[in-house]
Parts: sequence; C-alpha cells; structure tokens
Amino acid sequence: MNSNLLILPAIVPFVFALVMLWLRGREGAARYLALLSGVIQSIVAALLFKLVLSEGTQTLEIGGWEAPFGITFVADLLSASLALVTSFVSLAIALYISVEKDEPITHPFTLPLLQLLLSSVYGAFLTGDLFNLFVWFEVMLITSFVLLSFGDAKQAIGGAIKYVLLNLVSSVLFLTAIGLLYGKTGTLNFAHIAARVGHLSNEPLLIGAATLLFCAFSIKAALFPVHFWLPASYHHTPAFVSATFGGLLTKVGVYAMIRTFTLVFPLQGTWLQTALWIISIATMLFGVLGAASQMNFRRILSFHIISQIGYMTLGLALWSPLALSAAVFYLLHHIIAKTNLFLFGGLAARLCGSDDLRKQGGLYSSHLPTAILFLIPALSLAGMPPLSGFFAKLLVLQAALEAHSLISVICMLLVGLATMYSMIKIWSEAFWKPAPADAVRPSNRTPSAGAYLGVAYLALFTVFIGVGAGYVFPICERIAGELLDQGCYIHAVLGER
Amino acid sequence: MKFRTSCYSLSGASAVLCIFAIWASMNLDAPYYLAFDWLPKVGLRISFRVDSFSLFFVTLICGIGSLVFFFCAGYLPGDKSRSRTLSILLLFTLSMLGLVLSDNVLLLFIFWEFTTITSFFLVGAKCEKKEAREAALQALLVTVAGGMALLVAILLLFMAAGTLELSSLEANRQLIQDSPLYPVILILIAAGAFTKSAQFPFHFWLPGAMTAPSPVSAFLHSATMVKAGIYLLARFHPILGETVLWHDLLIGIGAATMIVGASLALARTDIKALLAYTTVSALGMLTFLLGLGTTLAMKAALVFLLVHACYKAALFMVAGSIEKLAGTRDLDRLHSLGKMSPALWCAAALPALSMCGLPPMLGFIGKELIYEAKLIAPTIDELFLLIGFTANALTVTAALLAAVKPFIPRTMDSPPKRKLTLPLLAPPIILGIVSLACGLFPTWVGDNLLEPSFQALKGEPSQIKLKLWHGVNPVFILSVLTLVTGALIYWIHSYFARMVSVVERWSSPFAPERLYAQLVKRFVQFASLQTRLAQNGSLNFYLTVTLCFASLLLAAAFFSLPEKAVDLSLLIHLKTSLIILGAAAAAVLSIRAQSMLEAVLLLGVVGLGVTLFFVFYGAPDLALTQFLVELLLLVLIASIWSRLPAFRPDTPKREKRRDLFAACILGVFLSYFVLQAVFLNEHNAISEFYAQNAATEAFGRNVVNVILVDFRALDTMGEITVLAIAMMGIMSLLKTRKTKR
Repeated sequence: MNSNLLILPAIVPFVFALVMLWLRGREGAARYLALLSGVIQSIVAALLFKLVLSEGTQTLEIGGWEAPFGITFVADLLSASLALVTSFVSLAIALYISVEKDEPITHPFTLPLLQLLLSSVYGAFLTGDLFNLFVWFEVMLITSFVLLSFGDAKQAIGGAIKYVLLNLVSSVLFLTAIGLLYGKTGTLNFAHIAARVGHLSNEPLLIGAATLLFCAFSIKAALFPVHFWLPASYHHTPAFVSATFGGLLTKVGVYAMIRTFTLVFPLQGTWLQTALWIISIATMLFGVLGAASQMNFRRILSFHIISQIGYMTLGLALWSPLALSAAVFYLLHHIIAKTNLFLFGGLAARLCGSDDLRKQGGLYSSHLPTAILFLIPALSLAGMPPLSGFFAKLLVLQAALEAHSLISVICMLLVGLATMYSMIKIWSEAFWKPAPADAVRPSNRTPSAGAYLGVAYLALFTVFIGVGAGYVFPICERIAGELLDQGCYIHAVLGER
Repeated sequence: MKFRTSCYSLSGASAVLCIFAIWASMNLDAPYYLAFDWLPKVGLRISFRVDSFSLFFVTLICGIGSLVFFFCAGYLPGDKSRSRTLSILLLFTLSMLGLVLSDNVLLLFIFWEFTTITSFFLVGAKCEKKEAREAALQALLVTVAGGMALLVAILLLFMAAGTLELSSLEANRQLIQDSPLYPVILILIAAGAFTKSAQFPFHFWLPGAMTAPSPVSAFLHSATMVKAGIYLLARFHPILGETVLWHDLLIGIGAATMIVGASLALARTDIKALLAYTTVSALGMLTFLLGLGTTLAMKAALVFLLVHACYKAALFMVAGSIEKLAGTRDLDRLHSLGKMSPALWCAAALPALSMCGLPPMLGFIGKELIYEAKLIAPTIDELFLLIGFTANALTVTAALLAAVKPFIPRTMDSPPKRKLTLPLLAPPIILGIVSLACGLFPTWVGDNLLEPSFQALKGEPSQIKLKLWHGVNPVFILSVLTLVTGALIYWIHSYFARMVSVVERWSSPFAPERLYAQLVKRFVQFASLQTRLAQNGSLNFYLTVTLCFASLLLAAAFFSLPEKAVDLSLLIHLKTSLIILGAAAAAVLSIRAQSMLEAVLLLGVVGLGVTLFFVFYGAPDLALTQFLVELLLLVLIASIWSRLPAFRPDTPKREKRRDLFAACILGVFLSYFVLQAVFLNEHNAISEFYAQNAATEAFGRNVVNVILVDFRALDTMGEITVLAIAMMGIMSLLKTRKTKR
C-alpha cells in the first residue's frame, strides 16, 4: 500500500515553482510551465484517484520512517478526490492565464508563488500528520499573504494585513492544540492520535484541544463570526489569484474540520456538534446577506463563499451518512463552481474596465458565449437543476429533513432564495443592463481562447457533477462510509499495531 | 430570411408532433414507460410515462407552439435579439414537454425549474429596459420560492412513500394520506403550483411578465407554462385529493383568484395586462374545478383547459399584431382598427366569441360544463356560484374590451388600410377556427382527446358526452344571464373600472406586489446595514471578535467538563512562580508603555521568561534558540527604528476596556487547559523512538537535529519554504518602495 504517487501532487508544483524562480523574468515561459504543471498534476492526481478508488486507502511513509514515528501521507478517497479537484482548478487557471496579452502578470513572483500555494494545498489534503498539516497551513498562509501584498493599492496591503493577522490567530490556536494533544497522547500521526484518543474520552485536556482545533479551523474555513479576513482581502488580487484563493483556501479549512471531527474527535453527541450547527446556520445567513448588500462582482462572490461553507459544515453537524456525503459532494462542487465564478469576475472586469457592477453592463448583447458560459457556474451556485449545485443543496436538504431539523430546512430555503437573488443581480447588472454611458471601455474586448478554455473546462465539470450525480454521489457515499469508520483509516495507516 | 426559415421549420416540426400526439392519444391502450436510474438515493430517476393525459398536454404545447413559432416569423424580425428569443422558446418547449411526460416527480421538478429559468430569460428579453429586468426578477423569485416549497414537498413525499414515480405514488395513496406529513406535503405542493399558476396572492408576477414579447406571452404566460401548476395539481389529485384540506384549499384560493383577476382586468388599459388578468382569473377557475374534484368538474377542467389555451393564445397574438399595426397597446388610444385591418378584426372576433362562451364555439360547451359542475356539486356554497358567475360575466366584458373596443371607429375619418403579413394574421385565425370546429364537432373531440386523457388521469371513464345543445335548462339560463350581464358591464365599464381603481388604491398597502417590493427593499436594506456593522473594516474589531469567539468556545468547553479541578502544584515551585510573575508583570507593563522602545524592551522580558523556563526544564538548545530569536527581533526593530511610524498609544478607553476583557477571558481559559497538560502522557510518546533510534538508524547523536533533518524532514522543508517565501515578499515590498521613491 506504499505508493510514491501520494507525494507527487505536492512535489510537482513545488518543482515547477523552483524552475520558474530560476527562469525569473521570463514570464512567457512561466505561463507555459504553469500549463505543463497543471497537466502533470492532473495526470498524477487522476492516477492517484484511480488507485485509491480501486484499491482503497493508500499510505506513504516519508523517508521510510514507519508510522507513527515519521510523517505519513495518507490518501483515502476523500483526500484523493480533493486532490483531483484541485488539479482541475490548477489546470483551468493555467489555461486562463496562458495567453499573454489579456492577463498581465504584475509581479514576477506571482506564478511561482501560485505553484507553491497549490503544493501546500495538496500537502494539506494528503498529509496524515497533524503537525505536518500545520506546516502546510503555514506555507499556504505565507504564500497567500505575499500574493495579496502584491496588489499595489493601499487597500490591498490593508486587506493583506487583516488577512495575515487573523489567520495567525488561527495558527496560534492550532499550535496550542497540537501541543496539548501531544502532551496527552504523545504522538502526532492522525491515525495514532485517533487510536489513542479512542481510549480516553472526556478528558479535560482532549476537550480543550478539540475546542482549540475547532476554533482554528473555523477561522481557516471562514465561519461566522470569524470570517472577517475573507471579504476584506480576496477582491484585491488579480482574478486568477483570487480564483485560486476562493476555490481552495477555505476548503482546506473545511477539509481539516471534516477530517479532525470525524477521525480524531467524532462530533456526534458532543456539545461541539450543537455549536457547529448553530455556527453553520449563522454562517449561511450572514454570508448571503453580505452578498446581497454588495455591488462589487468579486466581493459578492467572496461573501457567497462564506454562505456556502455554512452548507458544508451543516452537513458535518447533521452527522448522518447522508449528511456527510452531502457535505463532501458540496465541497467538490463548490471548489469548481466558485473558482470558475471568480474567473468570470476577472473576465467581466477586463471586458468592462471595472470590477464594480454599477460600471459594468451590456455583456449579454456583446459577449454571448461568455454570458452562456457564466450561467453554468452561476446557476449551479444558485441551485438550478441539473447542475452540480442543485444536487449539492438537494442532498443537504434531504439530510436536514431526515434529521427533522426544521430550522435548518427553513434557513436553507431562505438562503437559497437569497443566493438566487444575488446571482441574478450579477447577471442583471453585468450582462443585461446596457453599459453605462460614461463607462471607459478597454480597447481590447475579446477574451482569448485560453480564457474561454479555462472557464469552459471548469464549466464542463460543473455539468458533469450534476448530470453525472449518479456516478459522483456513490463515491461521496463511500467517502462518508470511510469517514464514519475510524477503524478503517487507523488500520490502513498503522496496520495491525 | 434565415430567421424566418428557422421559425417555419420549428413551426412545422411542432405541428407534426402535435398531430402525432393526437394520433397516439387515440391509439394508446396502456401508458408507455421509459426509465433509467439517475440518483436513486433521493428517488430521482429519468423516467417518462406517456399516457393520454400527458399526450393531451403535448397536443396543447405543440399545437400552440407551432402557431407561436409561425407567429414569431412575423413578429420578431426587426428585434435584434430575435434569434436568442427563438432559441430560448425552443428550449422552453422542450422543457415543457419533459415536464408533462415525466413520471418521476423529481424529474418533473427539474423540468419545472427549466421552464422557470427559460421564462426568466424571455420575460427579460428586452433587457435594456429596467422594467423588463425587474419583472423578470420578480417572476423568477416568486416562482423559485414556490419551486423550493415544491422541492421540500417532493422530498417529504419520498420519505413518506419511498418512491417518487407518479404511477407508484397513486398505488400508495392511502399510505401518504395517513401519514402525519400529509398536510405539509399538500400545502407545499399547492404553494408550488399556486406560484407557478399565478394564484392569488402570488398572481402579481404574471401581469408583470407582460414585458415579454407577445409570442412569449401567448405561449408561456397564457397557454402552457402557467398551466404547469394546474397540470401538477391534476396529477396529484388521485394521490392527494378528495380530502377536506384539498377541497377547501383549492376551492378557496381558486375562487379568490377568479374574482380578483377578473375585476382587476377591467381596470387595465394595456390590452396585454388586461388579458393577463383574465388569464389569472381563468387559472383560478381551473384550480377551483380541481378543488371540486368531482367527475364532472374534472372533465369541465379538461375542456376549459383546451378552450382557454385556444382563445387566450390567439388574443395575445392579436394584441401583438395590434401593437405592430398601431404602435400602441393602450385601449384608450386604440380605435378604428377594424377599418385599418378587417382581417385582424376577424382574427380577434373568433377567439373572443369563444371567450365569451357563445355558441357554437367550444367556449360555450366549456362554460356550460362548468356551470353544471358547480350546480350539482354536493358540497358547495352558493357564494361560490355567485363568484363564478361574476367572474364569468367580467370575463365576457374583458373579451369585448379586448376584441371589440379597439376595432370600432370613434371618429368619422377613416384611417388608411394597412396590410399585416400572413404570419401575424394566420395563427389567431387558425386558433379561432379550431375553437369553432371543436364546438361544432364536440363528440369527436370529446371521444378522441378528452375522454382518453380523463381516463388516464382518473383511471375510470367519465361517462360524460360533450354536446353543443342541452336544451333550455338552468345551466343554459345561467349562460345567457352571464352574457347579458357581461354586455351590460361593458356598457358601463368606465365606471366599473374607476370603482376598481379606487378599491385598488385604497387597498394598495396590502397588495401582494407592494408587499413583495417592500420585502425585497427591506431585505437589501437589512443586508447592507448588517454587513456594514459586521464587516466594518476595523482590524481591531475583527481581532476582538475572533478572540471572543475562541474564548466563548473555550468557556463552553470548560463548563461542559464534569471534573473541573486542576493541579496547581507546578505553580508552587519558587523558580517557576517567580518567572511567571516577572513575565506577567512585563506583559502588563508593556500594555501601558508610553514609547515604542519601552514596549519592545518589555516584550523582550516576556521572551526572556520563556527562555528561562527552557533553561530550568532541561532544554538548553531550545533556550538558546529562543534567546537568539528575541535578540534578532530587537536588532531588527532597532535597524528600522527611524522608518517606523510614530507610536500612538491613545486607543479610546472604551475600546481598551473591551480588548482587555477579551484578552483576559481568553487568557484565563487557555491557561486552564494548558495547566491540564501538566499530567502528561499515560502513553509512550513517539519521542522515545527518536531517542533510541537516532544514533543507530539515522546516524546522528543530536536527537533534535536528527528529528529536524531526518525523522520529520518534511516539516523542516515546509518551514524553510515559509521563510523563503517570506523573504520573497519582503524583497518585493522593498523593491516597490524603492521604485516609488
């Protein structure tokens, strides 16, 4: 069960980042390298996914130090699917920026840093070690902070500082929790911790550690009321950077939450479950209200991320096989649809010369293919069948109904309606409304083939996850089954020990 | 030319399909099924059922669709978004066909949402106009809200019955009706149907949707899409129907819709708005009949569906042609159109006769059946009869207003004759002729189209023959009275319209469209206010909330502990307590520091305290590292001293108190949990493995070093990456500073 494939998704972008840095200044080459990197990541991730799908959880003991003493990479179906989806995002973004003329890259470090970011995301998804997860979090944090600080506007720096400080709080809490856990269990390997925690329930120390991890991951996932860093910063970066952030960063937090609170501290029946339920509902409502109040394309999307994270954690809080598989389905759908919408945000801004919806307009009459492609992720996010978002919401709704959680159902419906409202606002303002008379139009108004390919590539998956729900959902059900059976994970990592 | 060709070919294809549907309906013995699995977990299957009731709707959709596509060839050229409109119309037709052919309710719902979204794009076809965009949004939000109710109902239905196939749900009827969820399911399904079919109080989106081009109004908003709710209710009648709740809900809402729609119609001067309100009224009538649910009422509903589709689509097309002819749809300004285009008058008159219910049109038969159904229904109040009568009379007036008033001359001078193209004239005339033909040969229509579909719906024959002439009986007298009353109201309609307007103005604060507008406005206001308060841009506020969040959860964790005792023996150590006291004092003092230097030095003291801990507890290498870090920090700060911004310790007192509180709470609870760590492992820590194997396996004496570079080398690589990236960030920041200078 030891396969070197596990580390490759993290290694490939890392190596490419180094090559790009070595070729510093040759931006054109960097774009092609990003493309190549995306292709290789996709191949590697697909192979890994296939392996895990057919042969079950895979592990890799880094440096040959057997678990739990060394660092172990673990790819169960959840990690492998997330890595796969990440590789889709990576390739789509590389396509989007592949043509030089339409996406100016303001800083020579941008592309290498983006590769490092991807590397850390893969690392976080695939590691089976609590401290190593922390390290990947740190890489992710510093990379995204530096990327955010590249924006030349003063607000961009302000946003970046808010981003990094609030996330550092998360790091401190995370590190404290690791310390406490190590103090109690004497180990850092997820499976090993889980095995040892299983014997000691209700220990004050463990409850403290669980709570701290919960706080840390809540901040990472941008749950209400610790979401502030997200809307403050995301819209200040170039579109393809914010697309990567919007698609992946918070989802790593959600992943960490799902992993920790199924494997190490199963949520069921604890007070944290109730807390997560309340927080999820509040997050859904708050996010969508934020989206309704904004007039900036990408800021609306930022608030939507928050709202949708609420759906995923609600799935975790409802805690049933169906709810968990719904949460995982939501996670996979959301990464793709959200990345794509951010790319459209960039496209619209480029075509209209502004990010502000009030200054945009007329794209429906002037750019029909763009408009039609936009509708796929937008309607998917709003929950229109038969796109991926419809099934994601349907499944969470079904789970809530089965749990007799009337409040969840009502909130979900209200949030769904408000999501539709704000998506239509974007459509109505940027696409339907005639362009304002005083708008300054950029001279070049044709999106390149690369940009089309990038967004179409992701749109394809949005359609596939929806139309092929009968194929995707059973995988999510299998994932939920794996998550609920802690013994299976522990056994895969530690063997009979 | 190319556009016209596509219109004609679509029209031809629909016509062929329509004829095929009629043929199939005549020759279909048993329903035809086709099914694949999609997502069995929620009961979703791609399953279709072709029975005569579906085929009846297919006939309607394709028949009207064919004429509408034909009409498009005359109406749409000149519109720059014509191809888009036509493509979306085609998509709509396909979704509508899918809707009426689905056997799986969830699949039906998916098509239902398709029709909603295509309708959204068609209503907003003139998207450069603000009203069109707003009307589209309104229609969408109302129907999507209803759609959500429907979705919940479907999921509940699945929970109650374990299946979502209409054919098997009928078999489970008793199970569903006995389920405690039954009232919820029924009300939610009805909510979905009512929003789609523009029932009071959700009716307001339909008149708003009249910003759509006329062919769209004729197709979606009179003949087909708005009937989807009726179709749904009819399909669910065998499953959920014949209970008191079903009866009361549908009859009540139907009657209200009927009378509200018909009265408001007369106060409109825009022909399309007038027609839209009569559509609302007609839909109310259909709901009412489904609520009655008797054999006769169901049959009457089927007949009326056909009648209404024929005359209303025709009149909408006429309205479109009038607009083309005269450049306006305002009834106050339209006159003498009869002289301008006699053919158009003819096209308007035939359907209007059917709408009035005059023999020998099909409309007459429909109205007779409806009256008969109401008269012999066992459980109906006289009030409802009166409401029905009034609504019918008002409909007669509306028909006269729409199809007579614009055509009669008001002045002596005769306007020039103008010719309308064939595609603008032919479809309404054909629909008029269909109404007439159906009225003349009711038995053929009844036996071949309506009776099979009734049987498919109810599972038993109705034994009701359609006849044009029943002799003079109470029903006939009622029909005649309706006509006379309608004509009388037409004569005084300006007074009536004024009266309705007054009532409307008086009740406007409670009007549903007003409530909708208020709701949206308040929602956006609330959202903005809420977001301004929460996302206020102050980092200090964000940090405080974040810390409070953590403290709150830690506090909750603390209170959830059954055993809260903590071992403080560690603190009793003299050395330890001295270090802690010293560090704490330095921390407190640093808050009150008056200059940057003071603050930095005091924080250095805190760091030194930590270093001493390491020294006393056997970790000299860590102590050294910590000490170097502290020193480096001091050096760094000293080296950029001159560039640091001025030190401003003057935070407002209130804020300071707030921050102090947050910090203290977090500190207390965090310390509590950290103190718990004093009782360490009962397990062997993995560090023992490191100590034992560092020299033998990894060939290094310094265990810490071996951990860093071998056992856990990946962590180290990650941290080095962090440092490298931070350096890149700093480099680029310094560079931008330089270039700016």
